[in-house]
Amino acid sequence: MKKKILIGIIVAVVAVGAVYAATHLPRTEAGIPELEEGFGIYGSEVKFDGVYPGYSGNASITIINGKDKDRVFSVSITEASTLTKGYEAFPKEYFYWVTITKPEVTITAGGMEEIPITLSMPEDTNYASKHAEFRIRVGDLTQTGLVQIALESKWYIITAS
Amino acid sequence: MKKFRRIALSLVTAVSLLAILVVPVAAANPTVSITVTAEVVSITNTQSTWGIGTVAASAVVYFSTDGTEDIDWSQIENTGTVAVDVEIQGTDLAGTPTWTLATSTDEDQYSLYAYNVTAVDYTTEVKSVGYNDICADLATSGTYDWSMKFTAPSSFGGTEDGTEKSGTVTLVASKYVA
Repeated sequence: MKKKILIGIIVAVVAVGAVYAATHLPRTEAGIPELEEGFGIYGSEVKFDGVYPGYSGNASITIINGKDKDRVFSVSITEASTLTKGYEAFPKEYFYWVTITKPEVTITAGGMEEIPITLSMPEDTNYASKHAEFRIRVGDLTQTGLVQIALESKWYIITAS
Repeated sequence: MKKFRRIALSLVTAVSLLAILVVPVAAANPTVSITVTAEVVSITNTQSTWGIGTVAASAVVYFSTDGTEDIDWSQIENTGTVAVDVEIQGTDLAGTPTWTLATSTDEDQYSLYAYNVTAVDYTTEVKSVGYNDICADLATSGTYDWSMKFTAPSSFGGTEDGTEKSGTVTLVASKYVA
């Protein structure tokens, strides 16, 4: 009887510990690699499949700042310079469907920031059966030299028929 | 007792039918699946500044320490977890007057080309509108050496104020998709 109680306590402690670890440990423990220098985007591609008029949903990318310095980042929507096979350019007049909650964010050296982005397709839109692509661009506003770096996450929208 | 059961059953049936008629049935929305690819896009570049110095009309200056040709002067490294394409874009040079970035030189119009390993020459045009690939499918931890060639305007139309002109060249990285 005592043995069963002891095993029960151990199981409970392990379970609570596992839940705590999953929810409280730094993001790097969740699989996002750190960077020694520069910056990166976690979320190289994002796909919304089955979007319909009236739909609203969100997805996130994470900006990873290198350990070399604090940085200020800009986050914006931009056209795809080259299109992935099977996709057309997401019309610029529909860019307002995309809301970036943090268009500018400061991240300390070695830090990360999740950027939630909402896609809302208006009710009265006629844009069915489309495969469209745009980009979410992240720039480093602290860059001062001639040659600067920007990174892009590829976003795909497939609308319902 | 049987009568009571019949009445109760009838009442339940009636209420159920009424509920079906009164409560509107919401049309089921299609399911939207959202997929975020768990990969990191990241690059670094070794050289970011370039002092071209004072130039004469049609002068050619290379992206290097002393302005002479050095095709390996700067290096891009893929520091992410996925292969990337790197594109390049430039800007006009702000000043009085502004020098416009163009395919070929002209009055107050300059050109900028990046070195192309395949062509073994400076053939990748750096444009202010649109992009050109500087390197494609750069593997994780892979590096790419590069440089640029600047050609000054063929003539200076405006009255130069003698102050420095400035602009930027942006390297844009995104996931390589075959």
